Amino acid sequence: MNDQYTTTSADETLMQGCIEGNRLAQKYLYQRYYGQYMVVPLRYLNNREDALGVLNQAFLKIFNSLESFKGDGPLAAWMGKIVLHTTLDHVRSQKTYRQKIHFPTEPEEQPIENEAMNNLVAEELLTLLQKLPDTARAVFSLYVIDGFKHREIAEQLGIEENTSKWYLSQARQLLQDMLHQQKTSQAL
Amino acid sequence: MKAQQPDHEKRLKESILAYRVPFEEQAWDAMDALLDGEAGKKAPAEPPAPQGTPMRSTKYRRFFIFLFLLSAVVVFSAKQGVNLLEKTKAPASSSTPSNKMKNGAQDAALSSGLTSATTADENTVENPTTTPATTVAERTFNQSTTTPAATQNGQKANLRESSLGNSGSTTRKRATNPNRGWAVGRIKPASSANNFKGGNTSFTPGNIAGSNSGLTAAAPQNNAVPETSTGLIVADSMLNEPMKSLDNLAFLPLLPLDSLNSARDLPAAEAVPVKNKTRRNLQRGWVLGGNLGIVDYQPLYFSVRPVVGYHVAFPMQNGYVQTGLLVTGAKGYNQRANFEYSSPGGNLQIEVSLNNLVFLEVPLVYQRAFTGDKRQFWLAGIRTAVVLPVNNFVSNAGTILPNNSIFPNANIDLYDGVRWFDLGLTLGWQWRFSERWAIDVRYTQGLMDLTHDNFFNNTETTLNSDLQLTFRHYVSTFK
Repeated sequence: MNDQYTTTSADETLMQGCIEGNRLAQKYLYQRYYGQYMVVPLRYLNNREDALGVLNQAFLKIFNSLESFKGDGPLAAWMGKIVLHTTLDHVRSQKTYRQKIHFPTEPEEQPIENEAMNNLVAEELLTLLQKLPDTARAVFSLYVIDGFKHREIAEQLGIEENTSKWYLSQARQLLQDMLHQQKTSQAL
Repeated sequence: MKAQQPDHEKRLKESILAYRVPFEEQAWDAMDALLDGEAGKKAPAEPPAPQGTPMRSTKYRRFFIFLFLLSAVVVFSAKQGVNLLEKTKAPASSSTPSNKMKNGAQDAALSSGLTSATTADENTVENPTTTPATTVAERTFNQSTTTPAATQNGQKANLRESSLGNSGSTTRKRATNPNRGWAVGRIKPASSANNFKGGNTSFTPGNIAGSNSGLTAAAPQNNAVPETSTGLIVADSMLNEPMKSLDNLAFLPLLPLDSLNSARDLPAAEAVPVKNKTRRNLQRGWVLGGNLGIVDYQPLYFSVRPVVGYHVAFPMQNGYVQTGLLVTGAKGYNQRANFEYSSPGGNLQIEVSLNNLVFLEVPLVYQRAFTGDKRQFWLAGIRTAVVLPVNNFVSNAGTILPNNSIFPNANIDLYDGVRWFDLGLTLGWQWRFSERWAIDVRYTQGLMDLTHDNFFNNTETTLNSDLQLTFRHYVSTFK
């Protein structure tokens, strides 16, 4: 029964166990992908408990719909999509008022140019990201890390394309400022 | 095409994507609990990559399931309450002084060979010649009636205020008489015939057992002290006090009631001041339920929100006037407003949308029973409401302009475009399905346009019309 599932079992074996509702198989699958997917809600939310809640909701969806996974692509990628969409659902549901900002002119691409970033470890970068305002953080994560285009971001977040651009610009500016501040404080 | 990602951002992306959060056992514990909850529900499989917010129908279904469960719980608990009341009423009635007396007398008769003559609504020891034995009775007696009785029999007054230091069975009754006070006494009828009337009599087996055997006792069955009585209450008292003599037993009223100034005249364990009944002329309690608000008519769009509050009702001719304080809300107004700001760094156009409103409602309705059992009411009246300023500021401070300068300040108060006061007409039905619970359904037609057209880009009328289904629990009811 449970002996067939170990922490080193193949994804397919664990997947089968999860479909059968085996709790140990579910635990091992969860444990295997926790580290990789916990980063996703952490990038979008500034609260660790909320992030864990969203991740668990995502895993619940995964366990409930594993049967419908046809194996077209890697399991990890399919799971990653569910985690991301669950996170974005949560981000959308948190907004009481939607706000659209239109600018008559296209904003210029102002990427972050700061050497300090190279010295930061991922955990510190995540902390910096979490300090950004909600929408700016979501747009930055979607654009820079998840590789979405502004049009797609606009659809995902229910905002306009230009608005997405300006949030990205805002996020970059704020990150730049934070990095600069960090550099200054380190120098002192 | 997406622009080439700068090196720093590329590194940031790689760094974050490569990062793995260390596994925590508590995370699995939370997941485990979630799975346990889900296993109970047996949720159907969901699509692999769900997107967007839940469907409206799902939301409504959840709401109605919630309402159904809530109503089931309320009805069940109300029924339980009624049953409990019935259950507790039965023993309570058997433990009323009169019954206790009766039982006590019967027990006494059984245990000591007494012949118990129990006569309903009569407090007379029958056939004095055949009942010459000693009767020890503790009774509620009426000053006006017992005095002559005792005098008639020419018996020596041998009653005294009881010291009542005893524990053990104590018969008490709260007098309903406005004259407050307690009197405790022992009746020691003489060996001659006793013929006393009025009041309740209780027989204490212990006392009787200590007396002569072959006693005949009359156990009356009066239910309560008459309203006109001075309300003397007699408690069981003499268990620990052996009778010195069975001779010269007689009874007289104790001290006049007026001389008992307060409960301190008697031991605390025995003396309980009697409170006058006060008429309660309001009923009040809590309200909990759901609010189905109509936030858009074309197309019809509903909002589902909880409603909580407190309600009060006053009696009025042929009905009640009901008011209260309730908090509820509506979601989905979707009113948009555009703003344009000019700044040296460029023009800024901002569109904000208002979706949610929170209301503090004060209904004032007249409710009148339309069934004979006065359990179902129709109600009609008005509802006033105040729009609460909740989360109404939208801040654009920090928005970056095309020249990379930060926009100074563009705080928008959405409630500048919202009318703060609302008025509506209410019509509804209420069913009082138990003493403490009622279910209430009411429709309120909003009469005022809540949004200013010159603020929002919408000339449509925004009304606060809703259907409220609530459960009302009565903390106190009319007396």
